[in-house]
Amino acid sequence: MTVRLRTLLLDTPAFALAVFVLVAALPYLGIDFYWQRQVMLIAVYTLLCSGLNLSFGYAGELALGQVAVFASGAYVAAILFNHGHTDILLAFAAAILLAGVAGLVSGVPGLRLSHWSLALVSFFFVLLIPSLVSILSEYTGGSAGLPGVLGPTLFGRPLFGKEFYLVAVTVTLLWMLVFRNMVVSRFGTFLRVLAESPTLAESLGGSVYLLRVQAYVIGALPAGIAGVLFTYMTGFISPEAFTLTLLIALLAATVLGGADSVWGAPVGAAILVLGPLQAASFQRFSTAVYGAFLIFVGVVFSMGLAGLARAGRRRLLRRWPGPAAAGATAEAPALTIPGERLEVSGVAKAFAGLKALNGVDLTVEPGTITAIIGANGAGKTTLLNVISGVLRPDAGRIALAGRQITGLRAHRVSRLGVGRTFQTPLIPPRMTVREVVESGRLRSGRVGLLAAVLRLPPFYRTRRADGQAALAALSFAGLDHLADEPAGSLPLGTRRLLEVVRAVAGKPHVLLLDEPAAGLDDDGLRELLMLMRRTKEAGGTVVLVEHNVPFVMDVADQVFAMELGRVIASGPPDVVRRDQRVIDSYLGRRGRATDEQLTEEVAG
Amino acid sequence: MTIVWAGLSVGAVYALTAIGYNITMTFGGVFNFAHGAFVILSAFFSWFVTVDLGWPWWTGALLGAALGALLATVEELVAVRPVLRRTDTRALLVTTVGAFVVIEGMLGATWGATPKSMEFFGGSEPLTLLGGHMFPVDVWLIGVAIAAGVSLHLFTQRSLWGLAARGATSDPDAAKTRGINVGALRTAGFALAGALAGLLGPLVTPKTGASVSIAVSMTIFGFVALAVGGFGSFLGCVVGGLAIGLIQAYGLRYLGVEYPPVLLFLVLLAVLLLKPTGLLGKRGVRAV
Repeated sequence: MTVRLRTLLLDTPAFALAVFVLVAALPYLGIDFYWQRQVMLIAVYTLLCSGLNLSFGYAGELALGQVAVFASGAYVAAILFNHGHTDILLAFAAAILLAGVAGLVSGVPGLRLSHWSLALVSFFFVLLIPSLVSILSEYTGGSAGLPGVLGPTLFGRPLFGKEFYLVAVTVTLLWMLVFRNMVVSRFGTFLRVLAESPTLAESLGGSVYLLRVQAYVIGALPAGIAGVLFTYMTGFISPEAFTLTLLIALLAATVLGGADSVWGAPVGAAILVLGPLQAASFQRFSTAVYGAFLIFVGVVFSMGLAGLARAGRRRLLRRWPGPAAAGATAEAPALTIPGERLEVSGVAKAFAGLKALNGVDLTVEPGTITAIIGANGAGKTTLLNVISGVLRPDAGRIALAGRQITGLRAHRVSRLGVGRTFQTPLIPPRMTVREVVESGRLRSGRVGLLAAVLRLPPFYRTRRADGQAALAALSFAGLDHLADEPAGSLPLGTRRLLEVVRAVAGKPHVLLLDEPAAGLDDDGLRELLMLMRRTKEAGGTVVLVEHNVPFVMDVADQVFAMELGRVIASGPPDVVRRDQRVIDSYLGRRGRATDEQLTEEVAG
Repeated sequence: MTIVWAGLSVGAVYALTAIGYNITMTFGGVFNFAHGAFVILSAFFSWFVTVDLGWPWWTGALLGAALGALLATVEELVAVRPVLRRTDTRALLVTTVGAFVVIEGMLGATWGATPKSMEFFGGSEPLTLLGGHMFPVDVWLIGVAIAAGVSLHLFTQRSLWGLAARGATSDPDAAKTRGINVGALRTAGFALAGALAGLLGPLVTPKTGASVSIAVSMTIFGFVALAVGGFGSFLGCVVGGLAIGLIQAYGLRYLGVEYPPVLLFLVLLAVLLLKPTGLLGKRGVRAV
């Protein structure tokens, strides 16, 4: 299989595009009106499920109001038609606007709370449909509905039969491409990281709240478009079309196709429309069956058909390995890391009476490795959390190259150049090693959602830069041979290294490492040591919290020892290791006080 | 004054639903989306036992409690427990919505779409209290809701079980190391909520009727009561429920039948935006 064909099939939507073109051509190949209607219904459901993919599959928020947004789009189109505005583009624009508003109204109040609050606020919309239709019955025709909505126009030209079909399929394809472009971009990477851990997303510079709002609101837009298509397709609109059963069926189709996939939506929608549950004999039990299906899929099978497809694809790829990673030339460009000076002064943090940090001062210069040691409970990780913005200090100041970063939220601090690793590596297991390292670059530069959707030149520039930087960082650490492996398949030691590499790829001004040596064997420790030395030589500022004292003594330029929230000793490793207070804090000082008293008494 | 009693009594129904949600949240740390369906299930079941089979009302209550406890336990074991071990919470949303739909679908398939009604065991003669008309069922509802809220509040605040539950939901791993069986506590919480719903069937059904179409509004308004009153607070459930019942009654009387849902939606938005932990809640159900 040639390289170009392989890339075309695997990395571009060429295959899906071909399928859509085929489907669009079907009426001209002779399918009758009934089947045209079925295909249009599949298109409508594809849009609805795809929206759920974005808000639920990627952002993890259950948008139970999707049917209500669908209804709003449908009514908008019908009302515009009845007032003489038959242009379909106008209807789309109005429906998209209304969908965005509905998404904001149902999303923003619940987003700071649990996923349940948002799910139920959006579910409320389903209840509001009959009420709002009644209140506005002068426009909506009340429970009787609005008939005779036929013949939309496009730039003044009426669309009937085959032409409307073409518009429906084309619009659906356009949305799917937009969605795909969003997913295969920095925005999509942020969402995948968010799904793994909100803390990780924040530490890579992503505001969790903003990401969720964006995914949730954008996920509502295709529902509005679907509504417009639905109205013109059926020619009649009434509140009875928008039921709880439809919502559940859509949810089931989404989950079946694969909630966190792009092309799972048309597959799920097709099964929904053409599948056995449409048979009349099932109607009575259809709701219960959908429910049982949801439980089954949720418990057993959560990745959906798309998950199966991905597993199959991985197997295929292993049989036909691709060419060597593009750009892996003999010498990767040397990596420089712009380290800056970090100053922490007087930082205090208490948790309801427990003083985790009780006035900590430390200064770290660029091009050095500073270690923080101390017994458990000394406050080391709390200190890292305060510096990286995960926690807000009660007192004190933190400055990076003179600039105050005290009290800023984690994603802001990350964007200002603070990179960190975690005690347990936070690595999305399904991302490849290359993708993980590229995600370290999310911290700098813009997300560029619009450029990504339209695939403008800035998007390609950023992607190329990210790829090159990732490769440079991987060869810096000697991991480039693993670039295309899934990160979840790596052993713990390599995953810890990968976390450091991810942080380094983002060119951090300060690198905070939280117990990177924990659980590593001698080989792993050696590799970590080498990586840290090379980071220092490249100019980085490294702060390392560690329990493994021999490792620290080997690698650090200066050491701070902490106990009960304060720094009790600082200086070069040799000095600190011999400091009596440090030894006491590790080994205890029982019996020492009486010795001292005796010595003083004897001395007079 | 009649409006006040009407509002308080429908509010009591919402309060009792909210209490059911709060039980699973307090004992299991899980929001059971399907609880609204359990309330409707108990409505149909008590109608079935009392009207269809003709047995005395207290058999409906006891059998309903047993059925509710059993089905809720099954739900927990099948749809909740296997999914809680996962790191992403998405699947739990899907499975509890699935459980809701299964129950609602089976009810619809078995008993159809026509609403059923039943008589209240305590009599149907209207009474006058403080100048307002009400029925015995209303008095009972308000009384039982307040009693349930207060007793559960005291139980969770004062008893060892309650303490264990609060520990288990705020830090399951720490609780386990102290010997608390977190899983069993959660299953017990589900069973208790299901039993409560079943037990109250003969009380709630004369007020609401038994019909599948109110499952959605019961689920949502119960949630609104919980959100307004405060997540995690049983007293809050009562306060929240009664408050939204009053809002609904006044909205119905002065604005018209289509307005109460819209009003309640606005109230919910206001509470979530201004005071997300609710009126009496201390710890909100925060994610970030």
